Amino acid sequence: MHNDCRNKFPSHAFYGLPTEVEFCKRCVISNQRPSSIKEQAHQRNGVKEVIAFKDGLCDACYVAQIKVDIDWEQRSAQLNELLNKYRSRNGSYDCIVPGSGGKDSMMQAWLLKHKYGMNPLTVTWAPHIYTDWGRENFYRWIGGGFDNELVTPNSALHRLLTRLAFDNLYYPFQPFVIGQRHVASKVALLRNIPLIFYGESGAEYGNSSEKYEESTRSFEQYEFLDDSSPDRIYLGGVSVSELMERYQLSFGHFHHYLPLSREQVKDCDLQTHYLGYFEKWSPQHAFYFAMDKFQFEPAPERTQGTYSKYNSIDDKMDDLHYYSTYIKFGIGRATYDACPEIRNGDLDRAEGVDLVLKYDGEYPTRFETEIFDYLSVDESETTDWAKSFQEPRMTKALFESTTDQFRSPHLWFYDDREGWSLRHKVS
Amino acid sequence: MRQIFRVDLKNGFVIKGRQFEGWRKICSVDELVGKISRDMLGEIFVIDCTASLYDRQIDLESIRKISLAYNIPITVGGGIRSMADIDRCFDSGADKVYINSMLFKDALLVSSAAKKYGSQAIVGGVTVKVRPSGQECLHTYGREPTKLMFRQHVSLLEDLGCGELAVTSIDRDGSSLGLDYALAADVSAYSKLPFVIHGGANKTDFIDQKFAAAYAIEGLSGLSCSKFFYQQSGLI
Repeated sequence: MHNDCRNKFPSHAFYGLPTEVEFCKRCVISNQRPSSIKEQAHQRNGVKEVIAFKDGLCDACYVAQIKVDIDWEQRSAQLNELLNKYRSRNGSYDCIVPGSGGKDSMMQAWLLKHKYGMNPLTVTWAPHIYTDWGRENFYRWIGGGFDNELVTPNSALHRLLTRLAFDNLYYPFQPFVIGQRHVASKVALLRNIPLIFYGESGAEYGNSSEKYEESTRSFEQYEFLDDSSPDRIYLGGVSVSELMERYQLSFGHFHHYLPLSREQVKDCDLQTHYLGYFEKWSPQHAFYFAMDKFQFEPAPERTQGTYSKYNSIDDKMDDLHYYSTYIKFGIGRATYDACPEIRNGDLDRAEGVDLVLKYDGEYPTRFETEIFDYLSVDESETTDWAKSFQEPRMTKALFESTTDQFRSPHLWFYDDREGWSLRHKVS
Repeated sequence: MRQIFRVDLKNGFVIKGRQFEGWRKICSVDELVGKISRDMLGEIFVIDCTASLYDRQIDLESIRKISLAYNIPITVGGGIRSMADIDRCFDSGADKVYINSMLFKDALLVSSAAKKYGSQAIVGGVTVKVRPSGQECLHTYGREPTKLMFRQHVSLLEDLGCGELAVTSIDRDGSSLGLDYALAADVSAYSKLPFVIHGGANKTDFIDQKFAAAYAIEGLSGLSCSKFFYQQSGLI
């Protein structure tokens, strides 16, 4: 859509987003924040579910209010009772901790092992492009006394899917998100480990407060496909049947990006829980915990797009991911980082507003060259994938023209002197 | 050897982090001045981290409270962007001002301030992180790379007329591993200015043997601490 045309339709919202933009009165999130979905159904023209708002308060802040009154000792006792049924007595793995060696997975692993006497296997889905400090923290995590299985996909296919997800969905992080979502349950099934523990519940970030009432993560919601036909499964916004034809691939090549089937798990006692249901969690608390127990190191510099040095610092693609959320939803990394800190009392809303206005949407220059290289589909001796792209090489011009296609008119306004501006900013 | 208590402020609260991250609230400024008596202190540095990080005005109200409570030398910094900011700091009770980020926005302001108030009143802040490339300096509360290496930064501050340096090790910040005397030795090698060192202070830095070692480093005139003092005073 031409820039001038876009200005004429301020009520036209892409992705089925709410046309009226509202900001939470307690944190700084807006009602444009998308909720997690089954990514294999994700198409460009799909309608987004978004965070619920009620009386000016977002769903995650509502959860934060509930959190204040929780009896954490009781919850801990409840967890211990659950774990008593599964605790290994011979050194075999009795639970899985999915993670990357960030502050949260460090805390998860330590609590399960040393507070609850479990024997966790840590499982990691490799980042797109490791940061040096992320990799070092990963080794600190394992060095703290934990076995780890690192699952690294075929980089050529992973990069292809990343490029397609960028072109078609403006969502370069999708292949990582999908792989990370499914890897723990696959390892659990393979190794016959009955429990998986994630950290905080997604409800604390806006994925439906109803989910906060229980500790379990729904297989139905995240894992199973309703229809496993290749022409109705989408990766990078393209059906798998089309991917198979276009790139001369077989269905099995996509196994990392597909969940388990109901048949595979029906005879297993496989449970996924949020440790954050049983243990009080906050980003800052996890940071200090990880520093004390594992010598976790924050990043040596501020992540672009935010003020933080300790949140999600292991993947260079993170920088582009949060830039993409800013473009599509008007919500950048500073917003995502500030909101849980406001909800946990480590920032007040006015501080959050200042940080968001200063840092949200900052263009990520620091890894631009590497990210553009990663998004480029190179000519190869063994595949002709590059031929399917008009411009296989990612350039700044291509990046910018793609970016502009995903700016929803109800969020963005174009001015010849100022360029693009958000119509609505938090205050 | 001067013993300096550094207080970091955020929104009227005293905070303390680790490697300039995860700022935990220790107490309010009112609680601080209520609990810490004058005779516990020799000298105080007050740095407003929100002024720099959030692009706000420096918290003069908190600075006045601290200045009135303690009749001791006070150095003030954080978010100083103009001569008017510097004037206001001195009007609020500061004896010296600490500048860091300002160097990268308006370096000439540093020399103007030194001319107006005297070099002895201008403390050049250097915040250092050791990376594979060497000792890198950052500003805006340890967040923004300056593209200056340590030696260049120190020399620049000296050339612009600072009378003293305040050097902080980001790696040691909040660690209680002890002050970085190797870093102090580097400062001594790079500059003729007197300087104070901050980051990681523990009790061994203030007992006789370490103290003697500190005296041996030419130019090192003060040892600064935050967390150690909060622990000693029972605030944490």
